[in-house]
Amino acid sequence: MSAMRNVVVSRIQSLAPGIKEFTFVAPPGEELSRFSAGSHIVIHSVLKGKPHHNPYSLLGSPDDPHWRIAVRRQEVSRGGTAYMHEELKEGDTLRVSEPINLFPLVRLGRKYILVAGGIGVTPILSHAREMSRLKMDFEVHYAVRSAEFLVLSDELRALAPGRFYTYFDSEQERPDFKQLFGNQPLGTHIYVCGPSGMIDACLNAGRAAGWPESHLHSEKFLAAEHGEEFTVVAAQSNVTITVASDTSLLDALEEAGLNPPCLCRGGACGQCEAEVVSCDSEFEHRDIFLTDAEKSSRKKIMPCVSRVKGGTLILNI
Amino acid sequence: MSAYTYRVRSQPNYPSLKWDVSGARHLLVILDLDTNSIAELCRSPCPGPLEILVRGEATHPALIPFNKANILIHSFASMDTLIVALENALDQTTMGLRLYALGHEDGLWKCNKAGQKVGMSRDEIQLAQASTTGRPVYCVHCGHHMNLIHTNITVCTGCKRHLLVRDHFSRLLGAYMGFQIDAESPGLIPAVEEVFP
Repeated sequence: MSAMRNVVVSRIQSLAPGIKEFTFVAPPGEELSRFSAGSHIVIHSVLKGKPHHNPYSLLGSPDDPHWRIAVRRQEVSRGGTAYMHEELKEGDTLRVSEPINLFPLVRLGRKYILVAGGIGVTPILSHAREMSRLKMDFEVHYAVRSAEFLVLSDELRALAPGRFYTYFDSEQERPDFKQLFGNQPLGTHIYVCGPSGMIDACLNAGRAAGWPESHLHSEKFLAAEHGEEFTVVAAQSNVTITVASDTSLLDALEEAGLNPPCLCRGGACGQCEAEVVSCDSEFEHRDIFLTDAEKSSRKKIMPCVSRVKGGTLILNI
Repeated sequence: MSAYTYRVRSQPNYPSLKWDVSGARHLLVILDLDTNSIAELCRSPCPGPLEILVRGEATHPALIPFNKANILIHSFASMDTLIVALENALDQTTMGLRLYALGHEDGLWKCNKAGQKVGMSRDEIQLAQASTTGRPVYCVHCGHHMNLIHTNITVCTGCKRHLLVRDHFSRLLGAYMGFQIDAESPGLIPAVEEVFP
């Protein structure tokens, strides 16, 4: 696991219905580390005795002495976002990871297209700030459900004057990815963050237009969804654990005292990849790290977001 | 390839050209008309629109596989005019292009540089060595560039030092590093052999 630290909540601000911005500062006598555009932190909390780990992109400027995140309250919250919205108060102390960047900026491009969907705007804002500072050629496309959910748009508009485009679902407006990808100069990179459906539509349009993978950048964090209870055997440690239906495999391993490596806890980074010795039931792969071939091989699993449908899973850990 | 049996990490490896089906359009630069390499590439049809820049005559027999109505062939008398045309083409075209270059190493890396200049990435460019293994060499003492060096030791045309042509390759310079061979024992020059035919 990456290094952990304490931060103090210095400000909570409502941005839109169900969306709040949180500002964190270092405890007295300490300093927050600087971060690169695209970084996120993982907030660790224990709610009703259960650990929660939620990744959030840092949307502020690396030059600020504070860190900023924006959190949308998930309609079906497992507790993490509900806790952030309803229980956390200014002055509270939180346990968080140091910044991690799985969505870094490639600086060798000639042009950049930033695409945000909903709360996925947070890393896009940090990239826009960096690109503006470096005087890069970029434009921003931001899609939301309706005008009231258009958060942080003043900052974006100021960073990309004349190159900031909004789309409202309520008005049947959607970015036209086919057109967007169709006529860009060589050396253009696209960065997209938002709901899975939008990311897939965006990346597929890019591939259809002949864009190479190295110019298609996306980030999405997945929450470990609930599923059936199953048994996991850690073969090397000779430990047998029951993974409850509302607990992730990674959380269950950690509760049992095992410390498998992990970083993003959102199925994106690949750190927690575990080798499967055997499994007598079906896999529920939910990560975006393993390839389809790896997923169907039944040889690997990402414990942070994936699980199996009952039965016994034996891991080589 | 060369008589060397070991490889240093920086030394480029050149697999044969293969059409990249993920690309929407294709640009092939032929720096040296190598009949075998072209025949091998043409065993499968190009998966999209293809344009060709060639140094030499467009009527050369090696280009017969490309004699199709929808393939544009532009012919150039010199490397310099070809590279300028390539730079212009890359500057004006859009994402979805794949660049392929075939020929001697110096030209390959000039094509690569033209691609990098417009922000192309490694997975959009393929380079394949053909016709000669003669090396581009950069003198680390005076910064002079030489091309098509076929021997293990060569005299720098800039500073006249005797240089050992190393396997250490710079992608930025598009050349192998040449170091003075007799720096510690002046005048002691080993036998010169042709190792890069």
